[in-house]
Amino acid sequence: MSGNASGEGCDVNLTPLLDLVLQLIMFFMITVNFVRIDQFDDAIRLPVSTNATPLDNTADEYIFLNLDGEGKLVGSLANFTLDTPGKLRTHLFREKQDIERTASKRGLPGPTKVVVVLRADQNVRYSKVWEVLESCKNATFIHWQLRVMTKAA
Amino acid sequence: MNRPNRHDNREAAGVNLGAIITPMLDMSFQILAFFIMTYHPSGFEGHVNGNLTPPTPRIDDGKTQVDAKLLEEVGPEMDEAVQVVVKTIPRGAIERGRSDGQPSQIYVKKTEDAVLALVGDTDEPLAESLRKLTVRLRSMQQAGPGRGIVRLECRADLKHRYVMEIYDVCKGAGFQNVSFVAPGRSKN
Repeated sequence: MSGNASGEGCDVNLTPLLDLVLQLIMFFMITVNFVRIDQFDDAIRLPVSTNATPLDNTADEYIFLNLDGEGKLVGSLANFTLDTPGKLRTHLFREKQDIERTASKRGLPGPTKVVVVLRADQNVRYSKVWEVLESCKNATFIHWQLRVMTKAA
Repeated sequence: MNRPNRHDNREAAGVNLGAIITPMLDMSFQILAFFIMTYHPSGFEGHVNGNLTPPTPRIDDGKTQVDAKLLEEVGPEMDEAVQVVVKTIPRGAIERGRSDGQPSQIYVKKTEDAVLALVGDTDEPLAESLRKLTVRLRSMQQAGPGRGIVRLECRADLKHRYVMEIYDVCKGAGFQNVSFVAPGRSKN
């Protein structure tokens, strides 16, 4: 360890430190994903399925539905009172119309492929999952995804 | 009088631009802390694709339109489907070590069968019931071509995690299409 006997203080070389800090910043900037809270709600524990496929983004638009263990919709939909299948169907139908209207304004050709992504907690009852899917069906959605964990955490 | 050799000190300390980099370093740490806190690894999440059958036709009010092309992607015919029925432990009950929300009896039925065949029950561990179901489904899958469809009928109180476990069993037995059916109306 070098010291300065004359008492002038030691000069610390900050170049490597700054370099490493900027490297780390670049790494996190590249890997950051500013997703909405309803896409990855940590409060929901997804079930495990070994037959799941990796996430893809082939659809034009996604609508995320997060279902907690009690069968309630959480995330961004928690602000709405969607306690009946009819209300959920109406809300989803409006969402779909908004998406299609936006797509037609942008001049996108063909029908817009909208996928409903259902993130249901592993302890929610099957009847609640079915209710949500039924509402999606009645809102004229065709494509849906069930989110699962590919391996246990 | 010897003066300190500023040139030597400059070389020993590295490049000296004469700029104050303390605020820059401080800002860098701030940004780094922000990105560390917002970092969210999600590598383990996957998805299961599905299609919904169109709703019951209603009076055309001129507002609701379903694209005909999208309807072509609706699921296959169910005539040759193998039926898997899963009953569950009622809410609040415990039956031979299995708690509420877990499967109780598991039945399988082929198209030509008149009644459901019991595959798994509560007198054995759940893993054993699932293993028996796997064996039975594999034998059905190998029995004849075209039997690639399973209709999964689960009772309303069955927990979602067990629905996915049985879904895994059906897919693992070689069935390409697993169709979810409305929950049964019986209590369990």
